[in-house]
Amino acid sequence: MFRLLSKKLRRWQILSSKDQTQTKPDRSPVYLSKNLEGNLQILREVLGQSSDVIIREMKISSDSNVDAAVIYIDGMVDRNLLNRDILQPLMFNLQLIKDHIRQNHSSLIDFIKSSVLTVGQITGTEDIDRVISDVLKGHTAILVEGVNQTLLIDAKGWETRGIEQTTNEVSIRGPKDSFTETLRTNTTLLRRKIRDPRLTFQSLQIGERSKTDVAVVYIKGITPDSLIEEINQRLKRIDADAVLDSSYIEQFIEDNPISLFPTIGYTERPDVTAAKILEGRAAILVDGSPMALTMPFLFIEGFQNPEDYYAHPFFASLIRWVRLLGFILSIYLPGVFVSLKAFHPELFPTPLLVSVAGAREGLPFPVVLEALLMLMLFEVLREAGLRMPRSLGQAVSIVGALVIGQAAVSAGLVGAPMVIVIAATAIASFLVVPFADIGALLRLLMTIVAGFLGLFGMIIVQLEILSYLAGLRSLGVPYLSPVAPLNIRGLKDTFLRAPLWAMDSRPASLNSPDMRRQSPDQMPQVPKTESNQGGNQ
Amino acid sequence: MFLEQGKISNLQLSVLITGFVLGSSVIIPPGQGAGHDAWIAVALGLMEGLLIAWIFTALARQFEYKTIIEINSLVYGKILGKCISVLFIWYLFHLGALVLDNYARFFKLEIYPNTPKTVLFLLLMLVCASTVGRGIEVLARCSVILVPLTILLIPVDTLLLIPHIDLNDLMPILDVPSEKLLWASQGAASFPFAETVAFLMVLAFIDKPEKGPSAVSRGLLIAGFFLIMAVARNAAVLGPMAVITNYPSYLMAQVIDIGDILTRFEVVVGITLITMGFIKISILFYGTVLGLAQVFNLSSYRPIILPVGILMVILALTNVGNTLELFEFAYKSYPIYAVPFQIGIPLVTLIVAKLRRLPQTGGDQV
Repeated sequence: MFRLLSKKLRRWQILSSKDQTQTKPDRSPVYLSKNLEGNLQILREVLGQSSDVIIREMKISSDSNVDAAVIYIDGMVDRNLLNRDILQPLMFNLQLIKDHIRQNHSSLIDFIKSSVLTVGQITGTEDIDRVISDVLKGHTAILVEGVNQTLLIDAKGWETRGIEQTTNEVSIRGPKDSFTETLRTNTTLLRRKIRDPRLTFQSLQIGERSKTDVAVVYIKGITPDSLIEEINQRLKRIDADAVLDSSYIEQFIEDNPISLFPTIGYTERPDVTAAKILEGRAAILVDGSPMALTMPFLFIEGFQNPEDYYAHPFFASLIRWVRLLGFILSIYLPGVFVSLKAFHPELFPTPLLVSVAGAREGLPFPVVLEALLMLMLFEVLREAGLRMPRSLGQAVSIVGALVIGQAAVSAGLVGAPMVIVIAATAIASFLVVPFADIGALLRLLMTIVAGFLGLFGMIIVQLEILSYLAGLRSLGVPYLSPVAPLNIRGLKDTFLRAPLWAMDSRPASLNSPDMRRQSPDQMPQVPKTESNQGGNQ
Repeated sequence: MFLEQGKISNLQLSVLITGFVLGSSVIIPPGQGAGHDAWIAVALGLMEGLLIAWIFTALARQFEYKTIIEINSLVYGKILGKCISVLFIWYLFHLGALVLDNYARFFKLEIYPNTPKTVLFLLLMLVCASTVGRGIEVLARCSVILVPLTILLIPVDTLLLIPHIDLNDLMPILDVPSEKLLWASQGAASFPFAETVAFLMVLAFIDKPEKGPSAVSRGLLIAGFFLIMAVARNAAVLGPMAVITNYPSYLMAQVIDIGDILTRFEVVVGITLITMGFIKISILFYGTVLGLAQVFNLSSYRPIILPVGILMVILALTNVGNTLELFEFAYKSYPIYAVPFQIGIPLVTLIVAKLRRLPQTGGDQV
């Protein structure tokens, strides 16, 4: 069903791309001249009259004819650094530079680079496009009269949000830091967790206008090369105007263009990202987004939570089952209630049937309509609660609680059992966050089908969903693995969470070239001698 | 010709076979003719089924796991081979319609008396067709999840029914006349065990061909074990009623009572059993469309899914007039009708292939 739709979509896409005859303009690179004034002219033209572009001209030698200019964008450059390590050395070393010019004029720019400036990252270039793009990135460019080269200095510095506590994925025992909007901060957070020299941040720029920095993160030798290649291919295909968040990337590189279920995971936690990379996955960090993408994302990951690995294995396994149960409840409960009420009332235990039937006495709507009404009302409340300014949010929840909980029942619009069912569903739906969105859709679908065909319809829809999931892939890995296709060793981290000392290999479904995670015989043991003596006495 | 790129593991093959065999046989248990000795008939049928499975896996192995369509063309030549292939495809197609009819009729009779039968047919067919469209791999993955979950129902049912089990109902053993027993066991062999001959279309896609035969027999044995358990339990719980009722497994679930809270959940049992039917119909449907595509040299079987699916629904709707006719066909005619397809085609093809020393070991056929 979905394939048909996606085929239509693709055809439509191909048709529309045929109309679009314009291609990217293919310009040959423009190089700098030796004339400072001319170079500045070009730069002024390109960068326009923006008030944040600063072009500071100066003299750098006591000879009158050696001018220079520093170009940067105000607000994207660390002012302290600029003043102390770039402007000051340039302008205070008049004599030094003059001496140098007298001896050897040709390598003036190299001299400045090697002996004058006291900053870390400096590169030289002749390509004017590169100068413009780097200045827009926050670099500082230095142009000197008589030299057809420019120095680009990385002196970026701007106001950022600091590293804060996680807000969406809270854990009790684990680390509390979360990613920020700055790519460099995020890479640092990861580097500090994995000090392996093979940890690689492979960066590229995406977005015709936004020119967003994107970094693919992986560990060489653990992440399969084919995966990296595939990710790179997909990333290179993106030809978008702007990438404002990592979710933009997600939508462009997903396996299934209109997938119902997420096939790429996201997290705000560095520890989760590090763990996934260590399992043999790859991550993508996007500048300007506090969410890292992890891939491949499998169905079972939706039920895993960082807390699982920090908590006791038995408890973690129990919570896994609770999550699974919550997910199942959140999708099926209203549908099951509706189909029991409408088609199979004999399945209710008799006392319950009596009370349910009694509660429905005199209600105006059929049970499906009642369920749909309450479900929609819940979705409305949820959305309102999310989007409202925080000060108004409380009013919404009070009104919601009153309307749903009390007024609707006493006004005779819905029965009290239905309220309980919907409330339980609503709470259960928050247990598995990655599938909360799709859960809401499936819930509505199941309820409607249950109203028409009872349990039979529900199981037919369920079979279709299962076969859809079984056919889904995330970067080539079957979505339902390690359950289907079955991999017994992979089951250590699915329905049960084995103790950490027992998880000695990486998940097999990810095809990591280096399967060994740790040595296999690490079960903690009681020292033999003492315990034996204790037992004998 | 590569119509299917997927590969299935041997474990998945076993699970598929288990699901396939239990398909409609959990609803209409085989061996009814033998009365309370039905379970013996099923056991004998299982042995015959294993023998037949041995024949067709030997055939598949002889030709390095090609589908029966390709084998027929090699053995009998193009024209005769295709004629025989069409006959075989007809069997799959007809059997698919029968299973579909079985299921829809069961739901119509027992659970949804007011729902038009066509709706039930169409919905079941739709989900099978969409799965077949996704390929054998997807179907195999679904089966790995569905079959174990559904099979669990049989031992759980049995456990819950222990208070109602009266082993005296199974006595005296071997009470029925032997010709009646043999007839019932031939019935049990032809439905459901030997129907696995449909896997001649699937065996081509397993990833460890050298262990193919053991995977097939493992699947058959597991299915046989649970089927014998179900049939014996039916007789022990329902007594003489087991032979009279149309759907004993379903009727039996009505008896289950857990502390007066969980009662009457035969609906749940009945509906869960769809999953096995889903696998059986999908395999048969898959064999039909893949076979047709191979016979007519199509580059993909996907375009014919919709028309063949509709034809199957129409056949299922018009095949038999009423339920009694269906049972009459299933118990009286089918055990003979199925013989040429289940034993005839594979055995004759195998013998002809041996006589003609096919496939030639020149290595020119890849």
